[in-house]
Amino acid sequence: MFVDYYPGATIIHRLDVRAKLVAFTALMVLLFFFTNPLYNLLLAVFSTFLLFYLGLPIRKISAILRPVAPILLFIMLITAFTYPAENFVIPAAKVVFYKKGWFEISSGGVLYGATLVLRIFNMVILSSILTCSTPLDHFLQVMKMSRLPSNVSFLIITGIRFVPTMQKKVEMVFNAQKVRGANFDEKGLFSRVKAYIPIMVPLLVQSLYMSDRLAVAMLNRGYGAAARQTSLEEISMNGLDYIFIMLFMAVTVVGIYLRVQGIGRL
Amino acid sequence: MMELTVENLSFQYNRSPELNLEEINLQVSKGEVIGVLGVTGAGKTTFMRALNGLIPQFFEGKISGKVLVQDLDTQVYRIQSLVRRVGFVFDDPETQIFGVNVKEDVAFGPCNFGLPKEEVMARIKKSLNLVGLEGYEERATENLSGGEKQRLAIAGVLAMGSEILVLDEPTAALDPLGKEAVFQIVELLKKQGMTVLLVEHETEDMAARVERVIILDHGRIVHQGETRDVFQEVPLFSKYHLRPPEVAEFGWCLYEERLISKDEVPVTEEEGVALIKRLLPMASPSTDNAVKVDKSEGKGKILQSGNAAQQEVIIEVKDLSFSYIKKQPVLKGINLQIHQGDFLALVGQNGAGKTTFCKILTKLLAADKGKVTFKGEEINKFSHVQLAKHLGYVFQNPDHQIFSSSIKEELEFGLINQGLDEAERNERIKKVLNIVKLDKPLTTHPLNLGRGERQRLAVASILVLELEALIIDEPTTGQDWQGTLNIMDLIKDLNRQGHTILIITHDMRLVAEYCNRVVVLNKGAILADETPRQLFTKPDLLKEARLRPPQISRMAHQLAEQGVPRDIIDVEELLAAVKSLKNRRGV
Amino acid sequence: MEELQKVKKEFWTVKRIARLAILIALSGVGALVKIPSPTGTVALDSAPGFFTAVAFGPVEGMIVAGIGHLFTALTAGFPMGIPMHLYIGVQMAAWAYLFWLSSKKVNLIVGIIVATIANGVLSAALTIPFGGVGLFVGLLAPLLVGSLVNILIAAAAYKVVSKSNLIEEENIKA
Ligand SMILES: Nc1ncnc2c1ncn2[C@@H]1O[C@H](COP(=O)(O)OP(=O)(O)OP(=O)(O)O)[C@@H](O)[C@H]1O
Ligand SMILES: Nc1ncnc2c1ncn2[C@@H]1O[C@H](COP(=O)(O)OP(=O)(O)OP(=O)(O)O)[C@@H](O)[C@H]1O
Ligand SMILES: [Mg+2]
Ligand SMILES: [Mg+2]
Repeated sequence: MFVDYYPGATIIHRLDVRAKLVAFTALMVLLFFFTNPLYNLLLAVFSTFLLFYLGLPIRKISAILRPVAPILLFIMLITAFTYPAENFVIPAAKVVFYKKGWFEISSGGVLYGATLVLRIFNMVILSSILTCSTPLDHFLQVMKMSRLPSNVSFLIITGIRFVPTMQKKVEMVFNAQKVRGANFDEKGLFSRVKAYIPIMVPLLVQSLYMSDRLAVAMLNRGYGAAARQTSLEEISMNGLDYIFIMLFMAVTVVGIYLRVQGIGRL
Repeated sequence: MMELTVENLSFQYNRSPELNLEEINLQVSKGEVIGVLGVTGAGKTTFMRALNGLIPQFFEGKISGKVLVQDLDTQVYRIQSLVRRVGFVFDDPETQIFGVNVKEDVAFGPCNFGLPKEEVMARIKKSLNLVGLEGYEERATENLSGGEKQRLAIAGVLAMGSEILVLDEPTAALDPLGKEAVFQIVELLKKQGMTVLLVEHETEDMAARVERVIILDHGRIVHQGETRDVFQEVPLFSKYHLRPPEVAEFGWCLYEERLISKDEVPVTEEEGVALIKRLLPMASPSTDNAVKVDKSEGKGKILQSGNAAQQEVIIEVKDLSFSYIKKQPVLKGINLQIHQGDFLALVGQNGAGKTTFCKILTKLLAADKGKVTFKGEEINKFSHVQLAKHLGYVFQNPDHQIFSSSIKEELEFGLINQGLDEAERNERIKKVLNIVKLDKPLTTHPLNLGRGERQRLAVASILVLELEALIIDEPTTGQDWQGTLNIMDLIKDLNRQGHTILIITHDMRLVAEYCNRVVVLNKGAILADETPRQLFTKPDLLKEARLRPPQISRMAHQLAEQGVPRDIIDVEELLAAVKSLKNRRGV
Repeated sequence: MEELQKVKKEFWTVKRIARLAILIALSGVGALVKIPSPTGTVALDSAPGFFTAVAFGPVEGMIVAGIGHLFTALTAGFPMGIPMHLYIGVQMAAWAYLFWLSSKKVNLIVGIIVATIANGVLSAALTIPFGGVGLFVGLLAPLLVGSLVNILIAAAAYKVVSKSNLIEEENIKA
């Protein structure tokens, strides 16, 4: 149900989650440095390579890409048609393919569209690489170790723990209303919304009842007794992780340098 | 020093119109095991909450008097400090488990105290051992059975080092053997010197295990004493609407007829068997035929079994199979015919597939193989909306369906779905409220009703549809004896009016008293389909299905040598049998 | 020897933490409750956040709406990539605040309108840096319908629940 962790023994799997987070952040920043699609294309090649390196099955990869594909297409089209040539600085972007009134297709529009598409593509792919190669538990541990107030990390951990429970609740509530003959295929948006009130109200009410019981159970197990909770499993970084972090910092510095030099603009 | 001292404790919830605890005094010394009895709303849970500071620190209200845990005042110290001494286990496994796996869950308490890691690990091991879950460390809590979850909850509390354990209806949702496992842990803990308070509606399980009993009513301790003394005083139970163990009920009748002294009234199965053996010396097999039980008495329980079978078939299941996960069948080739007018009980251990089966009957799940017909039509041909006009399903938890802001709207929902006009709807609503005895104004907000009342409203919202067949999933869980009887009598009435009923229950005593037919589901197959009386004479079969016949039947089995018939199912029958045997032999 | 602590009061009460955790989990599974609409199916994933805002105040509403969105995204496998969802999460928190503000200071109807415009139009506009005008145009209609449905259901549920005594007065005031 959650983003599936896909077990494996690749270098990416073995890296510490913090090293991966640093690299991920660096890459995300780099995505926004350049409007010339060349740079994002480079990154796209890199991230696609990683995706295959992880050994993800094709079915899974297509599941990642299918939902965004129509959006990407749409962005490409609209951007190509709506960004006129005068918005761009480099000559290659100023070529006008077609113009009629306000409507104009320029090379810049197409290129900029490509940048946007590649940018989102990279964000999606890199996010998947991060989540597929790292167990959820490791993220939670980073969160616990971070400066985040312990209550907030508990909130998130417990929220995750209750997702399957709430899933069952949703199913039960639906069933209970179905056997009473509830009709969810009403015509018209407002009637539909009304038909779902018998689902939402019991779910919210259940949540409130459960939260009282949960609070009692937390107190009963000493939640909040000590300022610092014991942590049973600690993640640790090794040489590889440090090298990895340095590498991506260096890449970021190079990126900043290029950007300052005005390279990569459209 | 006392483990627990309660002095003149009175308490009223902020929202409550009346006192919820009144002038409670109690002293508990180390190693005692105390049972707490009382009807729904008597204040059992409220009292337990006062023992570890949840009252008044979490549940706010007016409090007077004092509670001391060892020497700590619960109004002075934080709950988190008090729970190191008093640990709670609730009836609801859903919200008291925190970990994704077993180890993590047990560790939650000790980690909250910031104990060193080695200490935490040692405690996990020790407490899992105590509850018999060793080797379960890495198992996902999501996949544990109900019984295992309750044992895990106990382990979680033990790991905090609590010396006083409070169990508030810990076995409400468990099958008989799951209950047994939890009670065995209680016995083990008692041997280790823990102090235990046990709230339970099941007096039969309590009788042999607790040393002292207190009865709460309207927030007061109305009676307390040694277990034997309290349980022998059977009229007390009816006075406070509680269910005495069957064996004590039986003994009390003998006492009333002056056949035994009050002191001899048995409170456990063993005592009951011993008593009857004493009353009826061994019969010599040659001269003494077993007496016949008079099976025609007024409750109508056996009478129907014959004629229902000649009635029209309402639901027919043919060769039905189902699995949630491939290669792990939950139901395997089920065949069943339910007749018009049946009052059928579907029984079986936790996870046997009872709920799954009923979901298929109501088309909430689709069978992998086989077919289900309703009055000769395959149910696949009906839409949900159509099927809901004939077949009703009452779920266990009323809160999964209540969504309106008044009783009237809630009851109207299904009727509007059926397309009735206003006059008809009002007519039906009036009628159903009479049947379920819910005498609150129609504008009352359902969420302001008590849990028992909400349950009745949920039942009413299905009854109001006047359906031919009703499926009712564990309608009595968590209800006290009176509430259970009310609901069952209500269902019985409907059955008399010709509605076909299928109930799922773990309570064999109810099966014996109300149903004309019982179907045992075990490992996805039907193991038996007969009258309750026939079923309860087959201990081997019951054992295989992990079921336990009612206490009285269990006793009858052990008394075959005395000439007691094996097919006895309730107190009256055993009484009649014992008396006639006694007269016959002139002892 | 164990340390003993006296009773004290603080903002992060256990009750609040428990409530937030469960409502966040509920937002996470809101994606399972799908309503068909002219612009594709609408998932009831932000309704719990908006409900929390009117029922339990702005801070709780923002937490449930914000983290709740991340949960929904997490259960769906971050379909738009992590940074985008973080960004939307922050927006959702802001809209929950707006919903609370406008429905408490004016009334629930105004709250519905303000929050729908914010979540439908503003949110779509705020994606321009990521996807240009194209994304904005593409998202406008589904977001508008989706947020209207969620906010309407949240408001309706609040109407029902607030008439009971399930929500304490202190919360309604807060
Ligand atoms: N949080 C609360 N606020 C107001 N009233 C409450 C609260 N909890 C319980 N009550 C009321 O206090 C009374 C005692 O309830 P309590 O839960 O202690 O009963 P109980 O004996 O445990 O019943 P059951 O067998 O149903 O568990 C009831 O009238 C109940 O409605
Ligand atoms: N949604 C589900 N997905 C996978 N397995 C399930 C699901 N629901 C139930 N099961 C499994 O199917 C089996 C039968 O479950 P079911 O709920 O029908 O049992 P039951 O007889 O009603 O038990 P109980 O007495 O505890 O209510 C169990 O092993 C259970 O773990
Ligand atoms: Mg109780
Ligand atoms: Mg069941």
